[in-house]
Amino acid sequence: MSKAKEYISNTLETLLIDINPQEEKKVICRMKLAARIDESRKKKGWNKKEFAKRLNKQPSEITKWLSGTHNFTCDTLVDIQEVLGIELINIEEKQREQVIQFHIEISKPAMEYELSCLENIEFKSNFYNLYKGLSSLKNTIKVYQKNESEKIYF
Amino acid sequence: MKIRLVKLGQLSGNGASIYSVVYESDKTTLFEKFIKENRNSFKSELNNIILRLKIIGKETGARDHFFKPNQGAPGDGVWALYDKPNCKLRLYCIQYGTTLLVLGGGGYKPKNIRALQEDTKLTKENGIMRNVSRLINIKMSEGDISFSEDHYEFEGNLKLNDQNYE
Amino acid sequence: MKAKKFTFKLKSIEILDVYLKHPKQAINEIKNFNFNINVEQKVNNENKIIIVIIDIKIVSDDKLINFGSIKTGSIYEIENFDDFINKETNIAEFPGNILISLNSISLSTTRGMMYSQFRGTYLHNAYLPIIDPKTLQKKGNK
Repeated sequence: MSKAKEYISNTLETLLIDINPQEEKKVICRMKLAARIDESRKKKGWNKKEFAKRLNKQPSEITKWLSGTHNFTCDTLVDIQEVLGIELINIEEKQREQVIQFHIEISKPAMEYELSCLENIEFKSNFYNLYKGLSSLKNTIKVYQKNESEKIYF
Repeated sequence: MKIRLVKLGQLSGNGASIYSVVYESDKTTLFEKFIKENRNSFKSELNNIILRLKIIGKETGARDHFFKPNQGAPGDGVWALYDKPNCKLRLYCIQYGTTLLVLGGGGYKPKNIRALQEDTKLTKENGIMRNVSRLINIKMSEGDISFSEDHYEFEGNLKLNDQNYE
Repeated sequence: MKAKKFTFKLKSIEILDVYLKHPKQAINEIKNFNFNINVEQKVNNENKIIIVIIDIKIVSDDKLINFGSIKTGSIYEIENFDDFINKETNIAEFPGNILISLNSISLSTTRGMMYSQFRGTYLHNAYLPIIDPKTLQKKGNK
């Protein structure tokens, strides 16, 4: 199925480039606020008349609020969020990170040499040379080698 | 007179697809004509209109409450972008749900009028959009035009034949 | 409740801080290595990551002497981060077992980093014991 050709207008482009970014932010805010309020109103199952009644306003005032052109006062937003049970204004510092903290303290003896028994394992590194307590390791291996029936899993 | 639907890429996005109408003779869209007619006298208001349309297309969608409904015949979808009482411009469009919008023309809205019929320019532009809406509906009933599955696009033969064009 | 898939990868690891100070007492007088372990998980919605910071101090029995410490950071990139965001509060909520797993991976990684930093020093034998991550006590959340 064929679709519409995408039309690029130079006339429109000139005006789009001219748009003040700060002005754009304000209009975005007004429209998104309006959308959020309308969405919440619908979730409550209220029509505009009922919503207006709960705020002691005329339905025409609600129409103006939701038009996307209205510059809300702080007081109005506080009233609306109270009635709808939503948050429109957040004056707390924006939480960019949630932090969860854990703590534990454990101890172990400083001169602990015990290792799992290792049978016929060849160490390619100079592990034997680095590790001071290796003589005890060699003894342990000898003990295990005596018990041939014993299986050692590594 | 042949007219066709074109998608305005600069305004369309995840919110909605915004279309306008090109008349064969003019080679510009109805919306561009509206811009050209009003950019000198009402620049700041025009900028605000374009901003709102951009946000509708890119973010929020063509939500009902951003418009003044029922500007045409009952059920034809001809609406106007919301204009405050002290605003000077009116822009007509056809809304097909929150995801599809067809922009038309409009004009200066004198303060002293109570109904659009009192102003010839607005009456004319309103009439054009009513006609476009009618033509689209005819094409849809004939199966020549349909909505895409996601309802963001028109599909099919987007050339309309306007026999009423003056 | 349907189990959610948790798709993640280790984006980076880093040693944030290392401290070694030769103790005044003779090394063979150190009876125990006491590990004071703090784990901090930071969930960053913007970048869709969880940062796990492990801070380990190796202290004397009376906790008065700090033999050495290490601080490491591991960054986990969560590919389906948005699946865990509570749409009403906009706070990411991860099941406890996921956070435990991340702590476990980070602790093991830190064990390796500790050994690489302390080997050949008086803390050569102070490798981090195996820790059941479930035993980590949660401090007050921020």
